[in-house]
Amino acid sequence: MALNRDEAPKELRFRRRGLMSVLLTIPLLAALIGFASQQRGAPDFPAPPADQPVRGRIVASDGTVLAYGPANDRRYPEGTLAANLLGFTGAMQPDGRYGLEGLEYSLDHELQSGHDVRLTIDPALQAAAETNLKRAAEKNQAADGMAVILEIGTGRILAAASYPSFDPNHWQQASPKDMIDRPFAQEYEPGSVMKPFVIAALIQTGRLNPDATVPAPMSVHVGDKTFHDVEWHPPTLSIPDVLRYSSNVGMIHLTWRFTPQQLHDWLQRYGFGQPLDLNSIYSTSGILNPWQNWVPQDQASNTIGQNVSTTAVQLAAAYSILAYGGVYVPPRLVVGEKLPPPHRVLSPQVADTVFKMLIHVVNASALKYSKVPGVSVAGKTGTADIYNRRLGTYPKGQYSITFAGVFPADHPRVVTIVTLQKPQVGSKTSTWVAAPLFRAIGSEVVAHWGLAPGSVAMADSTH
Amino acid sequence: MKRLARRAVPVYVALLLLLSAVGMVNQGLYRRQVRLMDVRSKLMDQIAGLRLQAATVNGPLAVTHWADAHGMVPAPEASNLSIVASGPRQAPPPPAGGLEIRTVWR
Repeated sequence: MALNRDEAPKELRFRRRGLMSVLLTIPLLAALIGFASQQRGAPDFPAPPADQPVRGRIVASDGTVLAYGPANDRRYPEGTLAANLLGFTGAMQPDGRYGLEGLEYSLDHELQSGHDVRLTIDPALQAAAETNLKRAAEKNQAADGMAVILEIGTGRILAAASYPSFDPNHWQQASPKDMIDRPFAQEYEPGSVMKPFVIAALIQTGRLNPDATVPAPMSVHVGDKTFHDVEWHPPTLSIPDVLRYSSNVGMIHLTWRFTPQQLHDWLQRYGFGQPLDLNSIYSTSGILNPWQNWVPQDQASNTIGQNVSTTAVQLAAAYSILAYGGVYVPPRLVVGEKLPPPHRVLSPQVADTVFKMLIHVVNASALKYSKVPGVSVAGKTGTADIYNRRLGTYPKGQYSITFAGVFPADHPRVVTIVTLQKPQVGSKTSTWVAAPLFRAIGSEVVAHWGLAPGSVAMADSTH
Repeated sequence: MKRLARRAVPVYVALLLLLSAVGMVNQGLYRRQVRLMDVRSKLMDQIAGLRLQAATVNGPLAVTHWADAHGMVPAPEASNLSIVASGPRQAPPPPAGGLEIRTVWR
Protein backbone atom coordinates (compact mmCIF):
# COMPACT_ATOMS: atom_id res chain seq x y z
CA MET A 1 0.00 0.00 0.00
CA ALA A 2 1.39 3.19 -1.08
CA LEU A 3 1.80 5.83 1.45
CA ASN A 4 0.58 9.28 0.80
CA ARG A 5 3.41 11.83 1.03
CA ASP A 6 1.67 13.54 3.85
CA GLU A 7 1.08 10.23 5.52
CA ALA A 8 4.76 9.10 5.39
CA PRO A 9 6.78 9.47 8.54
CA LYS A 10 8.60 12.73 8.80
CA GLU A 11 12.00 11.02 8.80
CA LEU A 12 11.27 9.13 5.57
CA ARG A 13 10.09 12.31 3.85
CA PHE A 14 13.31 13.98 4.75
CA ARG A 15 15.39 11.09 3.37
CA ARG A 16 13.46 11.06 0.13
CA ARG A 17 14.13 14.76 -0.43
CA GLY A 18 17.81 14.20 0.30
CA LEU A 19 17.97 11.33 -2.14
CA MET A 20 16.25 13.44 -4.79
CA SER A 21 18.70 16.26 -4.26
CA VAL A 22 21.67 13.91 -4.59
CA LEU A 23 20.23 12.33 -7.73
CA LEU A 24 19.77 15.74 -9.33
CA THR A 25 23.18 17.04 -8.28
CA ILE A 26 25.20 14.06 -9.55
CA PRO A 27 24.70 14.74 -13.29
CA LEU A 28 25.38 18.44 -12.76
CA LEU A 29 28.64 17.65 -10.97
CA ALA A 30 29.51 15.08 -13.63
CA ALA A 31 29.01 17.69 -16.34
CA LEU A 32 31.10 20.27 -14.51
CA ILE A 33 33.89 17.76 -13.78
CA GLY A 34 33.80 16.69 -17.42
CA PHE A 35 34.22 20.24 -18.65
CA ALA A 36 36.91 20.93 -16.14
CA SER A 37 38.86 17.84 -17.19
CA GLN A 38 38.51 18.86 -20.83
CA GLN A 39 39.74 22.34 -19.98
CA ARG A 40 42.71 20.88 -18.13
CA GLY A 41 43.71 18.76 -21.09
CA ALA A 42 43.42 21.63 -23.56
CA PRO A 43 46.59 23.21 -24.95
CA ASP A 44 47.80 26.47 -23.48
CA PHE A 45 46.05 29.45 -24.89
CA PRO A 46 48.52 31.82 -26.59
CA ALA A 47 49.26 35.05 -24.78
CA PRO A 48 46.33 37.44 -25.04
CA PRO A 49 46.71 40.42 -27.34
CA ALA A 50 47.10 42.76 -24.37
CA ASP A 51 50.60 41.32 -23.83
CA GLN A 52 51.53 41.89 -27.48
CA PRO A 53 50.43 45.43 -28.23
CA VAL A 54 50.35 46.28 -31.91
CA ARG A 55 53.54 48.20 -32.66
CA GLY A 56 53.76 50.38 -35.73
CA ARG A 57 56.09 49.57 -38.59
CA ILE A 58 59.12 51.58 -39.65
CA VAL A 59 59.20 51.98 -43.41
CA ALA A 60 61.62 53.64 -45.80
CA SER A 61 60.63 56.46 -48.16
CA ASP A 62 59.67 53.99 -50.90
CA GLY A 63 57.59 51.83 -48.56
CA THR A 64 60.22 49.15 -47.96
CA VAL A 65 59.43 47.69 -44.54
CA LEU A 66 62.43 48.04 -42.24
CA ALA A 67 60.82 46.92 -38.96
CA TYR A 68 57.52 45.29 -38.07
CA GLY A 69 55.85 43.06 -35.51
CA PRO A 70 55.10 43.36 -31.81
CA ALA A 71 57.74 44.73 -29.46
CA ASN A 72 58.60 41.34 -27.99
CA ASP A 73 58.90 39.73 -31.42
CA ARG A 74 60.19 42.58 -33.58
CA ARG A 75 61.50 41.71 -37.04
CA TYR A 76 63.88 43.58 -39.31
CA PRO A 77 63.40 42.03 -42.76
CA GLU A 78 66.25 43.92 -44.42
CA GLY A 79 68.78 42.62 -41.91
CA THR A 80 71.64 45.04 -41.33
CA LEU A 81 70.24 47.78 -43.58
CA ALA A 82 69.96 51.02 -41.56
CA ALA A 83 70.36 48.97 -38.39
CA ASN A 84 72.13 51.69 -36.45
CA LEU A 85 69.32 54.10 -37.28
CA LEU A 86 66.53 51.67 -36.47
CA GLY A 87 67.89 50.29 -33.21
CA PHE A 88 65.88 47.43 -31.70
CA THR A 89 63.32 46.49 -29.05
CA GLY A 90 63.43 44.29 -25.97
CA ALA A 91 61.57 43.73 -22.72
CA MET A 92 59.57 46.60 -21.30
CA GLN A 93 61.78 49.07 -19.45
CA PRO A 94 60.94 50.83 -16.16
CA ASP A 95 59.92 53.92 -18.14
CA GLY A 96 57.41 51.85 -20.12
CA ARG A 97 59.41 51.76 -23.36
CA TYR A 98 60.11 48.66 -25.39
CA GLY A 99 62.59 50.34 -27.73
CA LEU A 100 66.15 50.06 -26.50
CA GLU A 101 68.12 51.85 -29.21
CA GLY A 102 67.76 54.11 -32.24
CA LEU A 103 64.38 55.05 -33.65
CA GLU A 104 62.80 52.14 -31.78
CA TYR A 105 63.77 54.00 -28.60
CA SER A 106 63.13 57.60 -29.61
CA LEU A 107 59.82 56.90 -31.38
CA ASP A 108 58.67 54.24 -28.92
CA HIS A 109 55.51 56.09 -27.89
CA GLU A 110 54.35 56.64 -31.46
CA LEU A 111 55.18 53.07 -32.50
CA GLN A 112 53.45 51.60 -29.44
CA SER A 113 50.37 53.60 -30.39
CA GLY A 114 50.27 51.46 -33.51
CA HIS A 115 51.31 54.24 -35.91
CA ASP A 116 53.66 53.47 -38.78
CA VAL A 117 56.69 55.73 -39.15
CA ARG A 118 57.93 56.61 -42.63
CA LEU A 119 61.55 57.67 -42.93
CA THR A 120 63.15 59.88 -45.57
CA ILE A 121 65.77 57.16 -46.10
CA ASP A 122 66.12 55.80 -49.63
CA PRO A 123 66.97 52.09 -49.24
CA ALA A 124 69.08 51.92 -52.41
CA LEU A 125 71.20 54.90 -51.38
CA GLN A 126 71.42 53.64 -47.82
CA ALA A 127 72.69 50.29 -49.12
CA ALA A 128 75.18 52.03 -51.40
CA ALA A 129 76.45 54.21 -48.55
CA GLU A 130 76.75 51.27 -46.15
CA THR A 131 78.47 48.98 -48.64
CA ASN A 132 81.04 51.54 -49.76
CA LEU A 133 81.65 52.81 -46.23
CA LYS A 134 82.32 49.28 -45.01
CA ARG A 135 84.61 48.54 -47.93
CA ALA A 136 86.63 51.74 -47.41
CA ALA A 137 86.81 51.24 -43.64
CA GLU A 138 88.08 47.68 -44.04
CA LYS A 139 90.55 48.66 -46.76
CA ASN A 140 92.02 51.44 -44.62
CA GLN A 141 91.56 49.49 -41.38
CA ALA A 142 89.60 52.35 -39.86
CA ALA A 143 88.16 52.06 -36.37
CA ASP A 144 84.82 53.47 -37.38
CA GLY A 145 83.14 55.70 -39.91
CA MET A 146 79.97 57.33 -41.12
CA ALA A 147 78.35 58.59 -44.31
CA VAL A 148 75.41 60.92 -44.81
CA ILE A 149 73.52 61.88 -47.96
CA LEU A 150 71.28 64.90 -47.47
CA GLU A 151 68.93 66.34 -50.07
CA ILE A 152 69.48 70.04 -50.62
CA GLY A 153 66.42 72.26 -50.29
CA THR A 154 64.30 69.76 -48.40
CA GLY A 155 66.74 68.65 -45.71
CA ARG A 156 65.65 65.05 -46.25
CA ILE A 157 68.29 62.59 -45.07
CA LEU A 158 68.48 60.02 -47.85
CA ALA A 159 71.13 57.86 -46.21
CA ALA A 160 72.84 57.76 -42.84
CA ALA A 161 75.32 54.91 -42.63
CA SER A 162 77.48 53.76 -39.72
CA TYR A 163 80.48 51.49 -39.54
CA PRO A 164 80.68 49.10 -37.76
CA SER A 165 77.13 47.86 -37.86
CA PHE A 166 75.06 44.92 -36.62
CA ASP A 167 71.99 42.80 -37.35
CA PRO A 168 69.08 44.00 -35.20
CA ASN A 169 67.47 40.55 -35.54
CA HIS A 170 70.35 39.26 -33.42
CA TRP A 171 71.27 42.35 -31.45
CA GLN A 172 72.22 40.29 -28.41
CA GLN A 173 75.31 39.10 -30.31
CA ALA A 174 76.51 42.63 -31.17
CA SER A 175 78.82 44.79 -29.12
CA PRO A 176 77.62 48.24 -27.95
CA LYS A 177 80.25 49.81 -30.22
CA ASP A 178 78.51 48.30 -33.26
CA MET A 179 75.18 49.84 -32.31
CA ILE A 180 76.15 53.52 -32.29
CA ASP A 181 74.16 55.62 -34.72
CA ARG A 182 77.28 57.55 -35.71
CA PRO A 183 75.95 60.18 -38.15
CA PHE A 184 73.75 61.57 -35.36
CA ALA A 185 75.46 60.51 -32.17
CA GLN A 186 79.19 60.64 -32.80
CA GLU A 187 80.77 64.04 -32.45
CA TYR A 188 84.21 64.56 -33.90
CA GLU A 189 86.55 67.38 -34.82
CA PRO A 190 85.92 67.96 -38.52
CA GLY A 191 89.20 69.61 -39.51
CA SER A 192 89.52 71.71 -42.64
CA VAL A 193 85.96 71.14 -43.86
CA MET A 194 85.21 73.98 -41.42
CA LYS A 195 87.26 76.55 -43.33
CA PRO A 196 84.66 77.58 -45.96
CA PHE A 197 82.27 78.64 -43.19
CA VAL A 198 84.79 81.05 -41.69
CA ILE A 199 85.53 82.52 -45.10
CA ALA A 200 81.81 82.90 -45.84
CA ALA A 201 81.27 84.64 -42.50
CA LEU A 202 84.17 87.03 -43.16
CA ILE A 203 82.82 87.92 -46.59
CA GLN A 204 79.27 88.28 -45.26
CA THR A 205 80.37 90.75 -42.60
CA GLY A 206 82.48 92.76 -45.03
CA ARG A 207 85.73 91.76 -43.37
CA LEU A 208 87.09 90.01 -46.43
CA ASN A 209 87.14 90.77 -50.11
CA PRO A 210 86.90 87.45 -52.00
CA ASP A 211 89.40 88.79 -54.54
CA ALA A 212 92.00 89.61 -51.88
CA THR A 213 95.28 87.74 -51.36
CA VAL A 214 96.63 86.47 -48.08
CA PRO A 215 100.21 86.04 -46.90
CA ALA A 216 100.61 82.36 -46.15
CA PRO A 217 103.99 81.12 -44.94
CA MET A 218 104.19 77.40 -44.23
CA SER A 219 103.83 77.80 -40.46
CA VAL A 220 102.66 80.27 -37.85
CA HIS A 221 103.07 80.45 -34.09
CA VAL A 222 99.99 81.23 -32.00
CA GLY A 223 100.11 81.21 -28.21
CA ASP A 224 102.09 78.13 -27.27
CA LYS A 225 101.29 76.27 -30.47
CA THR A 226 102.75 76.18 -33.96
CA PHE A 227 100.40 75.55 -36.86
CA HIS A 228 101.78 74.11 -40.10
CA ASP A 229 100.49 73.77 -43.62
CA VAL A 230 100.67 70.27 -45.05
CA GLU A 231 100.80 70.90 -48.80
CA TRP A 232 103.48 73.15 -50.27
CA HIS A 233 102.08 76.35 -51.79
CA PRO A 234 103.17 79.86 -52.87
CA PRO A 235 103.80 82.32 -50.02
CA THR A 236 100.82 84.43 -51.03
CA LEU A 237 97.45 82.88 -51.76
CA SER A 238 94.15 84.00 -53.20
CA ILE A 239 91.11 83.16 -51.07
CA PRO A 240 90.01 80.26 -53.31
CA ASP A 241 93.57 78.94 -53.12
CA VAL A 242 93.57 79.17 -49.32
CA LEU A 243 90.83 76.54 -49.56
CA ARG A 244 92.46 74.70 -52.43
CA TYR A 245 95.72 74.21 -50.48
CA SER A 246 93.74 73.99 -47.25
CA SER A 247 96.18 76.48 -45.77
CA ASN A 248 95.94 76.55 -41.99
CA VAL A 249 98.28 79.53 -41.87
CA GLY A 250 96.22 81.51 -44.40
CA MET A 251 93.04 80.82 -42.43
CA ILE A 252 94.64 81.78 -39.13
CA HIS A 253 95.84 84.99 -40.73
CA LEU A 254 92.22 85.77 -41.63
CA THR A 255 90.54 84.70 -38.40
CA TRP A 256 91.92 87.63 -36.41
CA ARG A 257 89.51 89.86 -38.31
CA PHE A 258 86.88 88.39 -35.97
CA THR A 259 86.78 88.73 -32.21
CA PRO A 260 86.41 85.36 -30.46
CA GLN A 261 82.76 86.14 -29.77
CA GLN A 262 82.04 86.98 -33.39
CA LEU A 263 83.61 83.78 -34.67
CA HIS A 264 81.80 81.78 -32.01
CA ASP A 265 78.46 83.32 -32.93
CA TRP A 266 79.00 82.68 -36.61
CA LEU A 267 79.82 79.03 -36.03
CA GLN A 268 76.64 78.77 -33.99
CA ARG A 269 74.62 80.26 -36.83
CA TYR A 270 75.75 77.42 -39.08
CA GLY A 271 74.43 75.03 -36.44
CA PHE A 272 77.70 73.96 -34.80
CA GLY A 273 77.40 73.35 -31.08
CA GLN A 274 73.61 73.57 -31.43
CA PRO A 275 71.14 70.70 -31.06
CA LEU A 276 69.44 69.56 -34.26
CA ASP A 277 65.81 70.57 -34.55
CA LEU A 278 64.57 67.04 -35.14
CA ASN A 279 63.27 65.11 -32.15
CA SER A 280 62.71 61.83 -33.91
CA ILE A 281 66.13 60.45 -33.03
CA TYR A 282 68.75 60.99 -30.38
CA SER A 283 71.52 63.28 -31.57
CA THR A 284 74.37 65.15 -29.97
CA SER A 285 74.94 68.83 -30.52
CA GLY A 286 78.72 68.72 -30.78
CA ILE A 287 80.98 70.94 -28.71
CA LEU A 288 81.64 74.59 -29.33
CA ASN A 289 83.37 75.87 -26.23
CA PRO A 290 82.23 79.23 -24.81
CA TRP A 291 84.29 82.00 -26.39
CA GLN A 292 85.01 83.45 -22.95
CA ASN A 293 87.22 80.40 -22.27
CA TRP A 294 89.17 80.66 -25.49
CA VAL A 295 92.88 81.36 -25.51
CA PRO A 296 94.38 82.67 -28.80
CA GLN A 297 95.29 79.22 -30.08
CA ASP A 298 91.66 78.16 -29.50
CA GLN A 299 90.39 80.71 -32.00
CA ALA A 300 93.06 79.55 -34.47
CA SER A 301 92.10 75.91 -33.85
CA ASN A 302 88.36 76.56 -34.23
CA THR A 303 89.04 78.24 -37.56
CA ILE A 304 90.64 75.11 -38.96
CA GLY A 305 88.08 72.72 -37.44
CA GLN A 306 89.98 71.60 -34.36
CA ASN A 307 88.92 72.16 -30.75
CA VAL A 308 85.34 72.18 -32.04
CA SER A 309 83.30 69.06 -32.66
CA THR A 310 80.31 68.30 -34.84
CA THR A 311 78.25 65.41 -36.13
CA ALA A 312 78.12 64.33 -39.75
CA VAL A 313 74.48 65.38 -40.02
CA GLN A 314 75.25 68.86 -38.62
CA LEU A 315 78.07 69.18 -41.12
CA ALA A 316 75.82 68.11 -44.01
CA ALA A 317 73.18 70.67 -42.97
CA ALA A 318 75.86 73.39 -42.78
CA TYR A 319 77.17 72.57 -46.27
CA SER A 320 73.63 72.71 -47.62
CA ILE A 321 73.62 76.41 -46.59
CA LEU A 322 76.43 77.08 -49.07
CA ALA A 323 74.71 75.01 -51.76
CA TYR A 324 71.21 76.41 -51.20
CA GLY A 325 71.78 80.11 -51.56
CA GLY A 326 72.63 80.76 -47.90
CA VAL A 327 69.48 79.20 -46.40
CA TYR A 328 69.63 76.69 -43.55
CA VAL A 329 67.07 73.89 -43.94
CA PRO A 330 66.68 71.71 -40.84
CA PRO A 331 67.58 68.07 -41.55
CA ARG A 332 64.62 65.74 -41.60
CA LEU A 333 64.57 61.98 -40.98
CA VAL A 334 60.88 61.21 -40.42
CA VAL A 335 58.23 62.20 -42.96
CA GLY A 336 55.73 64.57 -41.42
CA GLU A 337 57.83 65.60 -38.45
CA LYS A 338 57.21 69.23 -37.55
CA LEU A 339 60.40 71.23 -37.85
CA PRO A 340 61.12 74.94 -37.73
CA PRO A 341 60.99 76.71 -41.10
CA PRO A 342 64.22 77.26 -43.05
CA HIS A 343 66.07 80.48 -42.22
CA ARG A 344 68.66 82.56 -44.00
CA VAL A 345 72.24 82.53 -42.73
CA LEU A 346 74.15 84.03 -45.66
CA SER A 347 73.15 86.23 -48.55
CA PRO A 348 72.72 84.35 -51.85
CA GLN A 349 75.73 86.20 -53.30
CA VAL A 350 78.06 85.18 -50.48
CA ALA A 351 76.87 81.59 -50.52
CA ASP A 352 77.37 81.48 -54.29
CA THR A 353 80.86 83.00 -54.03
CA VAL A 354 82.03 80.45 -51.48
CA PHE A 355 80.33 77.61 -53.31
CA LYS A 356 82.28 78.49 -56.45
CA MET A 357 85.45 78.34 -54.35
CA LEU A 358 84.49 74.79 -53.40
CA ILE A 359 84.14 73.89 -57.07
CA HIS A 360 87.60 75.39 -57.57
CA VAL A 361 88.94 73.22 -54.72
CA VAL A 362 87.88 70.04 -56.51
CA ASN A 363 88.83 71.13 -60.02
CA ALA A 364 92.17 72.76 -59.29
CA SER A 365 93.65 70.49 -56.67
CA ALA A 366 94.71 66.89 -56.76
CA LEU A 367 91.22 65.84 -55.77
CA LYS A 368 90.57 63.82 -58.88
CA TYR A 369 89.54 60.94 -56.67
CA SER A 370 86.58 62.97 -55.45
CA LYS A 371 85.25 63.73 -58.93
CA VAL A 372 82.08 61.86 -59.65
CA PRO A 373 82.17 61.14 -63.39
CA GLY A 374 79.53 62.97 -65.33
CA VAL A 375 78.66 65.56 -62.73
CA SER A 376 80.49 68.61 -61.38
CA VAL A 377 81.44 68.47 -57.73
CA ALA A 378 82.05 71.11 -55.07
CA GLY A 379 83.81 69.91 -51.98
CA LYS A 380 86.42 70.17 -49.27
CA THR A 381 88.72 67.78 -47.53
CA GLY A 382 89.28 67.63 -43.79
CA THR A 383 91.93 65.79 -41.80
CA ALA A 384 91.80 66.36 -38.05
CA ASP A 385 93.73 65.06 -35.06
CA ILE A 386 91.58 62.99 -32.72
CA TYR A 387 91.47 64.04 -29.09
CA ASN A 388 91.94 61.24 -26.59
CA ARG A 389 89.92 62.06 -23.46
CA ARG A 390 91.72 59.45 -21.39
CA LEU A 391 95.16 60.75 -22.26
CA GLY A 392 94.05 64.40 -22.35
CA THR A 393 95.96 64.99 -25.58
CA TYR A 394 96.00 64.42 -29.34
CA PRO A 395 97.99 61.19 -29.94
CA LYS A 396 100.13 61.25 -33.03
CA GLY A 397 98.93 59.36 -36.09
CA GLN A 398 95.26 59.18 -35.15
CA TYR A 399 93.15 61.15 -37.58
CA SER A 400 89.56 61.81 -38.39
CA ILE A 401 89.31 61.99 -42.17
CA THR A 402 86.37 63.70 -43.82
CA PHE A 403 85.22 64.75 -47.25
CA ALA A 404 82.26 67.09 -47.64
CA GLY A 405 80.93 67.31 -51.17
CA VAL A 406 77.98 68.66 -53.14
CA PHE A 407 76.84 67.55 -56.57
CA PRO A 408 75.89 68.30 -59.26
CA ALA A 409 77.57 71.63 -58.57
CA ASP A 410 75.62 73.41 -61.33
CA HIS A 411 72.27 72.30 -59.87
CA PRO A 412 73.04 71.09 -56.32
CA ARG A 413 70.88 68.17 -55.32
CA VAL A 414 72.71 66.41 -52.50
CA VAL A 415 75.37 67.00 -49.87
CA THR A 416 77.42 63.94 -49.03
CA ILE A 417 79.60 63.72 -45.95
CA VAL A 418 81.95 60.77 -45.47
CA THR A 419 84.21 60.30 -42.46
CA LEU A 420 86.61 57.55 -41.47
CA GLN A 421 88.28 57.56 -38.08
CA LYS A 422 91.72 56.26 -37.22
CA PRO A 423 92.70 54.58 -40.50
CA GLN A 424 95.72 52.40 -39.86
CA VAL A 425 97.05 51.92 -43.38
CA GLY A 426 97.58 54.12 -46.42
CA SER A 427 98.29 57.82 -46.54
CA LYS A 428 95.79 58.75 -43.79
CA THR A 429 94.76 61.92 -45.62
CA SER A 430 91.34 62.89 -46.84
CA THR A 431 92.53 63.10 -50.45
CA TRP A 432 93.46 59.44 -50.51
CA VAL A 433 91.01 57.96 -48.04
CA ALA A 434 87.77 59.98 -47.90
CA ALA A 435 87.71 61.42 -51.42
CA PRO A 436 87.60 57.99 -53.14
CA LEU A 437 84.83 56.93 -50.75
CA PHE A 438 82.92 60.09 -51.61
CA ARG A 439 83.33 59.35 -55.30
CA ALA A 440 82.18 55.74 -54.89
CA ILE A 441 79.02 56.79 -53.09
CA GLY A 442 78.50 59.73 -55.44
CA SER A 443 78.66 57.45 -58.48
CA GLU A 444 76.03 55.21 -56.94
CA VAL A 445 73.81 58.22 -56.33
CA VAL A 446 74.17 59.41 -59.92
CA ALA A 447 73.46 55.90 -61.19
CA HIS A 448 70.41 55.78 -58.93
CA TRP A 449 69.14 58.99 -60.51
CA GLY A 450 69.08 57.05 -63.75
CA LEU A 451 71.64 58.95 -65.78
CA ALA A 452 72.77 56.54 -68.49
CA PRO A 453 76.50 56.44 -69.34
CA GLY A 454 75.85 58.39 -72.53
CA SER A 455 74.10 61.23 -70.77
CA VAL A 456 76.79 61.23 -68.10
CA ALA A 457 79.47 61.59 -70.73
CA MET A 458 77.52 64.45 -72.29
CA ALA A 459 77.11 66.10 -68.91
CA ASP A 460 80.83 65.70 -68.31
CA SER A 461 81.73 67.40 -71.54
CA THR A 462 79.74 70.48 -70.60
CA HIS A 463 81.85 71.26 -67.53
CA MET B 1 4.49 18.81 -5.58
CA LYS B 2 4.87 15.33 -6.99
CA ARG B 3 3.41 16.40 -10.32
CA LEU B 4 5.66 19.42 -10.37
CA ALA B 5 8.67 17.23 -9.67
CA ARG B 6 7.67 14.84 -12.44
CA ARG B 7 7.59 17.75 -14.90
CA ALA B 8 10.68 19.49 -13.57
CA VAL B 9 13.00 16.49 -13.67
CA PRO B 10 12.83 15.93 -17.46
CA VAL B 11 13.22 19.65 -18.05
CA TYR B 12 16.16 19.63 -15.72
CA VAL B 13 17.74 16.65 -17.44
CA ALA B 14 17.09 18.17 -20.88
CA LEU B 15 18.69 21.44 -19.84
CA LEU B 16 21.58 19.49 -18.39
CA LEU B 17 22.08 17.64 -21.66
CA LEU B 18 21.85 20.91 -23.55
CA LEU B 19 24.43 22.43 -21.23
CA SER B 20 26.68 19.44 -21.82
CA ALA B 21 26.31 19.76 -25.57
CA VAL B 22 27.00 23.50 -25.55
CA GLY B 23 29.99 22.90 -23.29
CA MET B 24 31.41 20.28 -25.61
CA VAL B 25 30.97 22.47 -28.69
CA ASN B 26 32.54 25.32 -26.80
CA GLN B 27 35.51 23.16 -25.87
CA GLY B 28 35.87 22.09 -29.47
CA LEU B 29 35.88 25.70 -30.64
CA TYR B 30 38.39 26.61 -27.98
CA ARG B 31 40.76 23.88 -29.07
CA ARG B 32 40.29 24.86 -32.68
CA GLN B 33 41.05 28.48 -31.90
CA VAL B 34 44.19 27.53 -30.03
CA ARG B 35 45.25 25.34 -32.91
CA LEU B 36 44.61 28.12 -35.43
CA MET B 37 46.51 30.66 -33.36
CA ASP B 38 49.37 28.26 -33.19
CA VAL B 39 49.27 27.83 -36.95
CA ARG B 40 49.08 31.61 -37.37
CA SER B 41 52.09 32.08 -35.15
CA LYS B 42 54.03 29.47 -37.13
CA LEU B 43 53.02 31.12 -40.41
CA MET B 44 54.11 34.53 -39.09
CA ASP B 45 57.47 33.01 -38.19
CA GLN B 46 57.65 31.48 -41.63
CA ILE B 47 56.82 34.81 -43.29
CA ALA B 48 59.47 36.57 -41.21
CA GLY B 49 62.03 33.95 -42.20
CA LEU B 50 61.02 34.12 -45.85
CA ARG B 51 61.16 37.92 -45.83
CA LEU B 52 64.69 37.74 -44.49
CA GLN B 53 65.49 35.11 -47.09
CA ALA B 54 63.97 37.29 -49.82
CA ALA B 55 66.04 40.25 -48.61
CA THR B 56 69.17 38.18 -49.13
CA VAL B 57 68.17 37.91 -52.80
CA ASN B 58 66.42 41.15 -53.72
CA GLY B 59 67.07 43.47 -50.78
CA PRO B 60 68.99 46.68 -51.53
CA LEU B 61 72.09 45.40 -49.75
CA ALA B 62 71.96 42.04 -51.51
CA VAL B 63 71.57 43.67 -54.91
CA THR B 64 74.53 45.96 -54.21
CA HIS B 65 76.69 43.03 -53.13
CA TRP B 66 75.62 40.91 -56.08
CA ALA B 67 76.38 43.68 -58.57
CA ASP B 68 79.74 44.24 -56.94
CA ALA B 69 80.59 40.54 -56.96
CA HIS B 70 79.73 40.35 -60.66
CA GLY B 71 82.04 43.17 -61.59
CA MET B 72 79.33 45.73 -62.16
CA VAL B 73 80.07 49.39 -61.60
CA PRO B 74 77.74 52.35 -61.23
CA ALA B 75 76.93 53.88 -64.62
CA PRO B 76 79.10 57.00 -64.16
CA GLU B 77 82.15 54.81 -63.56
CA ALA B 78 81.78 53.02 -66.88
CA SER B 79 84.86 54.04 -68.87
CA ASN B 80 84.70 51.70 -71.86
CA LEU B 81 81.32 51.24 -73.39
CA SER B 82 80.52 48.46 -75.81
CA ILE B 83 77.17 47.43 -77.11
CA VAL B 84 76.63 43.86 -76.08
CA ALA B 85 73.26 43.37 -77.80
CA SER B 86 73.40 41.16 -80.89
CA GLY B 87 72.92 42.62 -84.38
CA PRO B 88 69.60 42.93 -86.18
CA ARG B 89 67.62 39.73 -86.31
CA GLN B 90 68.01 37.77 -89.52
CA ALA B 91 64.92 37.31 -91.62
CA PRO B 92 63.63 33.74 -91.39
CA PRO B 93 64.09 31.60 -94.53
CA PRO B 94 61.04 31.37 -96.79
CA PRO B 95 58.84 28.47 -95.83
CA ALA B 96 59.01 25.29 -97.90
CA GLY B 97 56.41 25.02 -100.64
CA GLY B 98 53.10 23.34 -100.16
CA LEU B 99 50.46 25.97 -99.87
CA GLU B 100 51.35 28.24 -102.81
CA ILE B 101 48.81 28.84 -105.52
CA ARG B 102 50.22 28.86 -109.02
CA THR B 103 48.31 30.70 -111.70
CA VAL B 104 48.94 29.75 -115.31
CA TRP B 105 47.66 32.16 -117.98
CA ARG B 106 46.56 30.76 -121.22
